[in-house]
Amino acid sequence: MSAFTASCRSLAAGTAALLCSLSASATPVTYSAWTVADITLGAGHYKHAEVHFSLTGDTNDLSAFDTGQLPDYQEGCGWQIQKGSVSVRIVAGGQTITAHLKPGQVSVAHDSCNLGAGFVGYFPDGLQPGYPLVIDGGSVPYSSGGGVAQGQPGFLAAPNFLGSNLIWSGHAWSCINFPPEQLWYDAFTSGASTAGLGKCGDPSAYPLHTDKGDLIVYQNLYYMPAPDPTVPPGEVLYDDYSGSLNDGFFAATLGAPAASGE
Amino acid sequence: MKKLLSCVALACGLLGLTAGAQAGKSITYTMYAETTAMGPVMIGSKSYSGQIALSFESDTHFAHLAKENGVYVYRNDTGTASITISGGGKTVTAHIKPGQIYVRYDQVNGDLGFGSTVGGIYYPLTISCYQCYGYAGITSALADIAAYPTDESAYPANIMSYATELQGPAYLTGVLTVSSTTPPAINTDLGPMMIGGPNAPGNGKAIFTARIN
Repeated sequence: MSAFTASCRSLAAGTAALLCSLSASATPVTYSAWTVADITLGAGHYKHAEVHFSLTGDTNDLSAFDTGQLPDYQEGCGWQIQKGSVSVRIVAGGQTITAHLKPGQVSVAHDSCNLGAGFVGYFPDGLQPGYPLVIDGGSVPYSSGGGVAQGQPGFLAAPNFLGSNLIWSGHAWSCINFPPEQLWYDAFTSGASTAGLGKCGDPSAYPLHTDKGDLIVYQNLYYMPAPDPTVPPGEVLYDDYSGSLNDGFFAATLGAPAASGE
Repeated sequence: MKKLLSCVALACGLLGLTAGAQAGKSITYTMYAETTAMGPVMIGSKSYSGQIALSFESDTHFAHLAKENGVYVYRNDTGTASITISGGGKTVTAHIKPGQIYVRYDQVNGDLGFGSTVGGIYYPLTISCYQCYGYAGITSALADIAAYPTDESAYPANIMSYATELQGPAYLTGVLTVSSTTPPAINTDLGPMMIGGPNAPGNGKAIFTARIN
């Protein structure tokens, strides 16, 4: 149930429209995701660091998205928020560091067609849906997209989970070129070269700019069994859910964020 | 195969316990989970939803090797446990009364987490794998390699460094076991606590950490 719906249900009919609008625009929300990963922040490199991303925004800025059915029969659908302040908290070696990301680099999305949720990055060469931190599978809810792109006749928005308090767990990804195994299979089945495919790309080419220097998150935990008798293990990720050995959490908390001492 | 590997685990364990030299350090084990998969945590007459952090504070010299059902496992039975649930902007912490909870790692069978005197080795919160392959997390990957050493090539080169003897820093992931029956109560300072049960959806992932304090 979204915050918008929830607040509306408590109001008397007749005054609902105006008050719902006011209520919806005044619902602060914090989205967060965390896992443990190796990271670089500025000049520091931290192994096995807790990495906590958060975006503080307003549920009124949530918007639906749906790609419709793509030529490869895939579809992305769900809700996202692109407006808000994003920070990352690193806990490693007994110290805690909080860095604030410069605007326009990261948004939060729940792709219910693909059971994914988290923080996705925008870079000069386009969207990275598995970077800097998303979770998938696990308890992330699914919904069918219906195959119709947003704005087209017959489009139906997916359920909006991001307007409510929630917590989900799933496989954690900080993966450039997600899902890389799809690129590998496309090349493999067509007889094209698979060189450089099947694995997450080098994140050092995708720095996120913060007030404490550039942030890079590494995907070091993966599962790459032999996909075919002719291909050895270690060449291609198992798939875009279980190819990651790492796990993480994604949460939404309605209300003003607690004051931070940092 | 598993019996053979249990011997390997024993050898490693003895080496670790004699040469590990981390005895006498304060250590905190924590399992992180969530209630969307586990269902709300009942404490006293209230239910709580959100991030679960079940912690056990102990000392590394209490970690020991034990043989259970023909398999060597690492255990720590001595410490103080608490559970914190954070969700919707609210946080509650309950302190578990002594002697009910223990920490246990069975690398061969891929079981890791918190067992209890009232609920056995899987309750209240334990990572486990029915079929232990990489797709069920680090704990499952280590069990896969224990059973089939050649499978190690499917994992990162340092994967074996994630195995823990419960004596030092650790980080492992996996799938949570959910009780299929009504869970027994664990006593806390806020009343009886119950986690999971037959109505819990399942599919939850978890993170287990150990930190030297």
